[in-house]
Amino acid sequence: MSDPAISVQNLYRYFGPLKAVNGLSFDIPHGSVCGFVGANGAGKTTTMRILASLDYPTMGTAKICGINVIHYPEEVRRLIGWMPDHFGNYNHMTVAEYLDFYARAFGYRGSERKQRVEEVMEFTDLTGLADRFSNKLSKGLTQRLCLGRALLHDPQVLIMDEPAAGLDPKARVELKHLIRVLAEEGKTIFISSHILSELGEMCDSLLFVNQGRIVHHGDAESLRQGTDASGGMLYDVQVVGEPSRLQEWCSITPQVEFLESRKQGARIRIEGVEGALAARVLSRMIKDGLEVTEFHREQRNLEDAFIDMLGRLENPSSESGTPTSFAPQP
Amino acid sequence: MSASPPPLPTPASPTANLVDFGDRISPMVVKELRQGLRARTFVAVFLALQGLLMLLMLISVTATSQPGEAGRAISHIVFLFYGFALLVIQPMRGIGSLHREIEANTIELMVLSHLSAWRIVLGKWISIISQSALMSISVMPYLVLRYWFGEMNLFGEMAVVVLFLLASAALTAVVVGISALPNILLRGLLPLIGLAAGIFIVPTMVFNRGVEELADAITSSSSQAQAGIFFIVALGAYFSWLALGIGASMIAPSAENQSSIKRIVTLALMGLLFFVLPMIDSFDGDESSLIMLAVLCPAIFLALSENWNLLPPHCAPFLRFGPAGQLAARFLYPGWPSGVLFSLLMLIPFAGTLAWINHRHSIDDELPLALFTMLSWVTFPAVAMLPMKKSERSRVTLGLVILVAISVAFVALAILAEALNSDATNFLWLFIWIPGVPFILHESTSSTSQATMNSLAGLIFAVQFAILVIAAMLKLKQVSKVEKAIPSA
Repeated sequence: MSDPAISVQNLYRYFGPLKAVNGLSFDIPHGSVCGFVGANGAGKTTTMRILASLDYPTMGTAKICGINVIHYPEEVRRLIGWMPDHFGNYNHMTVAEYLDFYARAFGYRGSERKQRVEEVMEFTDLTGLADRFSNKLSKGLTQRLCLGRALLHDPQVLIMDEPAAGLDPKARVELKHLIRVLAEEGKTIFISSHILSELGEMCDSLLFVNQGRIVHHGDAESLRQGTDASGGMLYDVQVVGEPSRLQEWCSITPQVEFLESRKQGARIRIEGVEGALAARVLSRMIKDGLEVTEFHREQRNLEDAFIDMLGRLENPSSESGTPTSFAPQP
Repeated sequence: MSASPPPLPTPASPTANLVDFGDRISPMVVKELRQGLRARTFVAVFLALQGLLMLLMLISVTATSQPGEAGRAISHIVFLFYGFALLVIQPMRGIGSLHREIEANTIELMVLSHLSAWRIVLGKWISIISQSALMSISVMPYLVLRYWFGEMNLFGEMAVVVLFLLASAALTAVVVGISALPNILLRGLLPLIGLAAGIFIVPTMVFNRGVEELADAITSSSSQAQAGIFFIVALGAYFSWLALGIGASMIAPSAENQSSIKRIVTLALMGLLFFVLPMIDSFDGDESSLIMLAVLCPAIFLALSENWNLLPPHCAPFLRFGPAGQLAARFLYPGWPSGVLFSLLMLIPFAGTLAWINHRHSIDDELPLALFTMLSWVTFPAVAMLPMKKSERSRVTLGLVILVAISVAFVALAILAEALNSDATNFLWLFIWIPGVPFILHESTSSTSQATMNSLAGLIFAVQFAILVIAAMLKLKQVSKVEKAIPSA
């Protein structure tokens, strides 16, 4: 268990001139839920397919529980459960028969197979639908069936590509609940989605990828708290009196940047990530005569954080060149 | 998964209706049979066949005055319906069988379980032929009843039922194998041509005493007839295996090696024929050569149509055997460059057998021209693909398209040459690079000798093969780079 559940090092995948994956490196520890976020064509599905041994990289290594996906695909397949972004169901086959087929394919025999199919149907709440034809299920039930199939062989790592796409809110909540239960059982879950708010709620870490490169790997909280890509903190400040005073103060204060006016205050950026630095800024505001009524770190939603991050990547010059030091005041 | 929610209050297990006998057979066969036996096509064909046969028997029993004549009529109609069902409808059920799974992304789900690509393809094929076998068994009682009308070779006609089943299995294998091709024209058009041919061939064969002659041939004591039937069945099995192999290699993950086993088996088969064929007195030199060619040509075409995408999992099993493994790998690695060397290797037993046969029997003067034409036919697509970048994606599809194109060109030129007088066919020299054109030239002009045409066809094949060898050598330089990337290497 010393190896990470998923380890990717300098992974590249080119399709002719297209660099689908362009030097990805990351580790995901055992028992964690990691969200994989990126725009369409960012390289998410390609990376996930390589991890699932369905594609091969142009360069680099990918390991599942320390086993090289490229060199030992058969061994890796025993460790992973794979949910693709889209798949069809079979005609003339019931839910129970569908799971029974995959249980046979995974090598279960006799009563052990039946027991396994029943366990999975109970877990995914499909027991009552055992005799329904699998191609007559709703999208949400189909996703549950697919999750059940992926869990049949009790994999250590679940790789889920856009499992919530096209689901109604109720089905999404149910899926999220199942993923949380699996995470509590110690499974490592690597999940991609476009619905960032949901990923934020269920993931221990988020991996943002753009044009085949990682642009952020960390917990959702740091993104929500308004830490921008270049390592600054974003704060909402409200003052008594004219807010323009605050703007003037920011313009003459090193390491503090005025971003935009708000009602009775402003949105500011403090260069650095230490809480003590924010405390020093607040202290100096008060010392300089600003009557501060509110001073709190910005809580953004993940969509905003992602768009902000992409915006900064596309236009790096917009990042402000703030003064270089903010010496502690005596 | 250790989650154990409280048991539901349902009295019966939801999986109670899942039978256990299937544990002994492939999961894929269980799945396909479950689906196939419920499919409307099977149910409709099976019931229609039974209904028609029962009606036919009733009419024959009540309305016959000449039992012998009525018996033959029954045989004809039984084989007509049975032939349609088995040789036309059942193989057609394989159209798109793999492509549907590829489109629905379910192939990948199966490949990630313990099912190999071969087991998936084999399961689909076995399922359809099991249903065909069910139809065959259901026809047997009618043949037994027909026996009481007299003038019947019961054993022979029952053997023809089995032969139809084998032919159906071979046709189904081809349709299932090519159902994985991404090109809809190849996937659908070839079976549809087969359907059209079947609609014409089945009645022709049935009503022109074809079934009776086949039944007589099966039960005859002639060693030539028996050897002929044996080799037709054996070649049918070989073609089925190759066709299913196309499907398996199309759906297999990149890291799965689908080629080496195929090449080893084909080499072994060529080695076997090298020893066996010259000893069979029933066959003359031409027949023996054609049998060898039937084994050689599809194997060469497929070896030269493989994508070149060598990965460490392909190399590792060979490298375990040290330098000997590395040497063998140059002929057996998946991909067309090693396929060129493999084809070269295959030509050795072929040439050896020809020499041996020539020593024992006389070989027709036209045979070398036919042999070189056939060999050029299967190597030409690989040569044509060399400058094409797209060929790296799905060479087998592109190879088949080129094969169809040159076949059409050949037929068009042959028709044109036939329509013109022999002096006006000099334009054919412009198309001499198209396989088969030396053959047309030989047929349409009297000025060129057989020996000249044989040499010309040989030269064209040699040039094509030399180009392939040079291109393959350049590509094979990449092999050592991949081999070095393997941890144990």
